[in-house]
Amino acid sequence: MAEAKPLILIVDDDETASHMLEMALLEVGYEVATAENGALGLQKGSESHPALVMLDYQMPDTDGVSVLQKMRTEAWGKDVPVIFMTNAYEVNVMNLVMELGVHDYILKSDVRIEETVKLVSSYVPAPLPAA
Amino acid sequence: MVRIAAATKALKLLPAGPPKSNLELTNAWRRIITVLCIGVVIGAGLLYAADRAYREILIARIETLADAVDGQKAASLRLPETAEGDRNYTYFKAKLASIKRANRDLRFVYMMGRAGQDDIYFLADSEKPGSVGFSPRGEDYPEASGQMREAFDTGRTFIEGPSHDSYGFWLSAIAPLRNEATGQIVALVGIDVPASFYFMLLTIAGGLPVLVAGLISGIIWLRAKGRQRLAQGQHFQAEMVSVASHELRTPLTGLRWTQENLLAQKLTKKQKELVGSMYESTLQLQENIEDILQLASKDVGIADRLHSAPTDLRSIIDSVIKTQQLAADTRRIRIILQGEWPQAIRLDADPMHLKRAFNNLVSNAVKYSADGSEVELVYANDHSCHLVTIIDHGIGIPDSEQARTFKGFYRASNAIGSHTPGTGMGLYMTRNIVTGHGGRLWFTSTTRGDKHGTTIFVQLPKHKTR
Repeated sequence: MAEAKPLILIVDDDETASHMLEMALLEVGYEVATAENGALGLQKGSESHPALVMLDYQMPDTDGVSVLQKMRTEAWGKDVPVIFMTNAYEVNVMNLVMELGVHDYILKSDVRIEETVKLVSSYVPAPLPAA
Repeated sequence: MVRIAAATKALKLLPAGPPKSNLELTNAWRRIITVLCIGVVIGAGLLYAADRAYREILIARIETLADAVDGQKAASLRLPETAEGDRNYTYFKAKLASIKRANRDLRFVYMMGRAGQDDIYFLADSEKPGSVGFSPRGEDYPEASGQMREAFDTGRTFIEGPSHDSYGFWLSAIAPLRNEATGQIVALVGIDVPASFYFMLLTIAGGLPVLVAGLISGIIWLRAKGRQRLAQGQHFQAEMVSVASHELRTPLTGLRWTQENLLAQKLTKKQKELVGSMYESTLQLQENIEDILQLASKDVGIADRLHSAPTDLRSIIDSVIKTQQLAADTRRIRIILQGEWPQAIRLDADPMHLKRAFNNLVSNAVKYSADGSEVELVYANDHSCHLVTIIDHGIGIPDSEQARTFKGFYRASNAIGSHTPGTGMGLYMTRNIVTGHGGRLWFTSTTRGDKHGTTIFVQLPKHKTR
């Protein structure tokens, strides 16, 4: 009787980072969905009801802040934990998304992938132990 | 091409935060209006004072003149004509002409009499008989002012004008003459002075402060415009740094995370060494890029960009050690915590910047350590501060160069000789981050004997001091 694996949704236009994160999350037993832009992220979110969203800030169509604002008005995204990711350190953006209720904020270039996975598991426990 | 397109895209994503330029100009306008008001008020004050002073001088001049004229003799000039009057007329004509010659600015010097209550007529003047300005004795002066008529009763010295006639603009100073024996006012003595000097004086007195205020206003305006341009330039620079940050860090993150995923796989010793060395280079590249980005945005001031929050220094140190250890492994260098370390070390700090600072310090320690050696981290605290000490047994910093270590782009001569990479911005930036937190960063270092190496001390306040 296998329990359903928690689904993590990664919304990031950087395919390499997104793919690496997906790989690392799959290894500790999560299910992963990815979206390479904000609109697709919102669509996949409403279809799949993820347990946690990893949301990139700078994306070409809709930026992470807009996605966050939109998802917070929808049933699936109202309370879901969000880890906000960025590659540029901006205090204003950080303050803004903290107000919008993100659970964590990471500067991608500053964290190892293993730390990122650990951060995810602190909100949604990983089904498998880390290698 | 692709990069430029990506950068343009990223630029569009930036939040538009206009510089404070409009505020700058509004403030400048306020200051300009204040300065101009002050200029006008001072100008008006000086104008009034100059007018008063000039009139006082004219009064003093006519009174001195009147003192020198014999009143009793002057009384004899009055109509009807007498033999004594005729004699004295010649005397006064000569006297008034000589007064005019001695005072080159005077246009006319004259004496007036009064018949009845209202009729004013000439007793004598300074002009040659037959000349254009000459008025014969007894000639009526119907333009006489009420003030002039009244002066025979009040005995007041007064100034008239500036008034205008065919001779131009002029001022008149008029004083009464008394018969000293009876005390009766028998005549008036007057001088006419062209108003040109008076007008010049008033223009300078009133205009100069306004002119100075105008110049100051101009300077205020130019400086505000200059500051506005500077602010716009800085804003543009900040935007460019932000775009560059995103564009440079994005592929680096991908590169690093890929290598980390690879290092987490089951690899042979040889493979692990190869990937580890690749990872070391990636970290170095990232450090260099961070240094350059930091330098590009350095005039913004790091203290303004710190975002303090309750932070756990222990978890930052653990993360830094794990990252740096992945790179240090290839040279068999061990990074270890020495002594007592609490499970959590609480302080108010900006976790991202603090992590960068410790990453720099530990990476430096590893970089300059001998292969197979150890880098030690020691923790101590008192009631207000945390102290982290980072000890390496590396090449050390020569005594003669220690004072320059925290300057931007400085690299010790033996560091350059050791072929280790670096921009020389690391320590400079790190110290800015530490001091931006209200902390202190210092070191001891020796290049000689068995104890060669560097010990860096990082002191951080437990609570925000700013």
